[in-house]
Amino acid sequence: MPVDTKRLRGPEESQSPWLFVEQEQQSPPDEREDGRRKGQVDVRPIFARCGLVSQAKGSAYIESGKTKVICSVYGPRETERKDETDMKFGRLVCTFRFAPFSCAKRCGWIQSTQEKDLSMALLGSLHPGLCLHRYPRSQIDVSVLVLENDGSALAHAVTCASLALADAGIEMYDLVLGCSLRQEGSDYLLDPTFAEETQEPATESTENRGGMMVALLPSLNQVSGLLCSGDLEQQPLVEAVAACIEGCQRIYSVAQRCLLTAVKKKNPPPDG
Amino acid sequence: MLRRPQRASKLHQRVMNTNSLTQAPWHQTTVEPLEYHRKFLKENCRPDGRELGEFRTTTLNIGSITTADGSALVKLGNTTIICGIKGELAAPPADAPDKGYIVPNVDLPPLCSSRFRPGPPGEQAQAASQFIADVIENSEMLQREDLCIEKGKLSWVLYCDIICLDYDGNILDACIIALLASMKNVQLPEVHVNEQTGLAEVNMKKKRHLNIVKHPVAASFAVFDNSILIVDPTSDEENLSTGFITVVIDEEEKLCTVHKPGGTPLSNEKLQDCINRAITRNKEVCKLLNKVMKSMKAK
Repeated sequence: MPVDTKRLRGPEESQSPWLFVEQEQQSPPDEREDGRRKGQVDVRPIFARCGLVSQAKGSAYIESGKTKVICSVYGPRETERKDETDMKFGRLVCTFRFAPFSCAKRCGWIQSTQEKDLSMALLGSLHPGLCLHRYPRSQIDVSVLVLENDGSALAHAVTCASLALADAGIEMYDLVLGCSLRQEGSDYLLDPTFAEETQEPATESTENRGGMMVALLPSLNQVSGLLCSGDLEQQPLVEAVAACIEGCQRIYSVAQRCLLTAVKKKNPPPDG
Repeated sequence: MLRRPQRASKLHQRVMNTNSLTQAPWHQTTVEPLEYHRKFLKENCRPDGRELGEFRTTTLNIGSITTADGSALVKLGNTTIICGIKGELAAPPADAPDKGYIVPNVDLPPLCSSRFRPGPPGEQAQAASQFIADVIENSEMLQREDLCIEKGKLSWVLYCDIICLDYDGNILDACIIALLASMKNVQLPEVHVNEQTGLAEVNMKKKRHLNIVKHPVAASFAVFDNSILIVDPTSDEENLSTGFITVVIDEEEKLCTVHKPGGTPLSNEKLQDCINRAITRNKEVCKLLNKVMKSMKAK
């Protein structure tokens, strides 16, 4: 393990108090804890705002249930790495981070492999939505920070990042909206909370259990990113994708209204 | 909460009117920023309409992150700082078996300003972390003995992670407020060490607050043109200044830290002015803190 010399370090080893709490074994309830129903396209209400980071070209903040994500966009600016300069297309750089206090267990400052994977997934989902040919030889930086993770962090990060890109005035084909899903046997949980994402299954069988994230270009109705893990058969998989697409469409109006408010604030209509 | 405070004082309007109409402010701010600021300072006010000794609007939100044991979001004008504290269990340090740990870290991610690059923390972030650690140590805001659970066996580690979300100058003041407010918000579960097994037993249902004995508050100043002191500088003002000074003071008017990293030398009287302003700032911030804590209890 490399030692981090640039930060103040605590003791070499410390444990989360949750390790010492006796876990009560309980089977997952039939109903979801927050009153939403299984197998229904039931996304949590979303709060979205644009343009709150004064230093950034564009920024957005999304709150959905207890999940809180902030994103800011810088650029287009000159590429830092000259060897990777593309004469025809702009380069999109995505960084996805969890704040150390965002999860139940504290995560470290150094970017973990999970965060790197999520950065790549974010990049892949946003890429098809951008007109990168309009920004040759330049770089657009997107950085996402999850302030609190209560499930579906990547899906909300995708939505948040595309709102920030739109707020920054980057030319896009369409917004990119994200929605995630958890399949449990024959039922699915749309927009799962952290507990639902990580809970132990009720049955031993591993059939048809898994997670999914779909990124959608809503007005073109094209899927730009699809991330699927676990074991899913064909029929439930197709149904799950359809449910995610439906879920994305549900948050489209919120995203549109958020952008409209931001544009109105930037360019106030002339008086009288 | 997120609105930009744009309050144009009469002085501000007067200065704006003295500018010829053909010259838009952006022209001056980009081409001759120093001259632009000087014009305002001559009239004893600043481009954003503040007087020289006036802080930006401070807003405070406590306990918004439920995954942290204590958290606070502070806005100082546009500058936004979030602090989350998480408690973990560890063996106490060998040289002080009856104490716990407090580990503050400041992060300035590329998210908050274009001046920061991804990767390990830069000099400014490292200096800020050390400064916060010094303030905690010097102010004795809480007794580190309180964090000990069983002498020599088990104690709490408080990881105080402070992240800047929007960098518009004067992060140190905002960091200290965020740290203090989230410390007040921390609730740690009850822990016992089982004598037979030697393992910890945690009761998540019983939680208690930390005993915060001192309330240190910082006031930062920038020195303009080697003579004029302005309080709570914005990012633009920081870039043009010739020196900085940060004074941290607690509610009993005791100095905790005076931080002056080089720059213009200051006279005795000027330093006294800074300290006096820091005393009134402490009263302002404590008032705000109490108000927010009270409104939280009312809920």
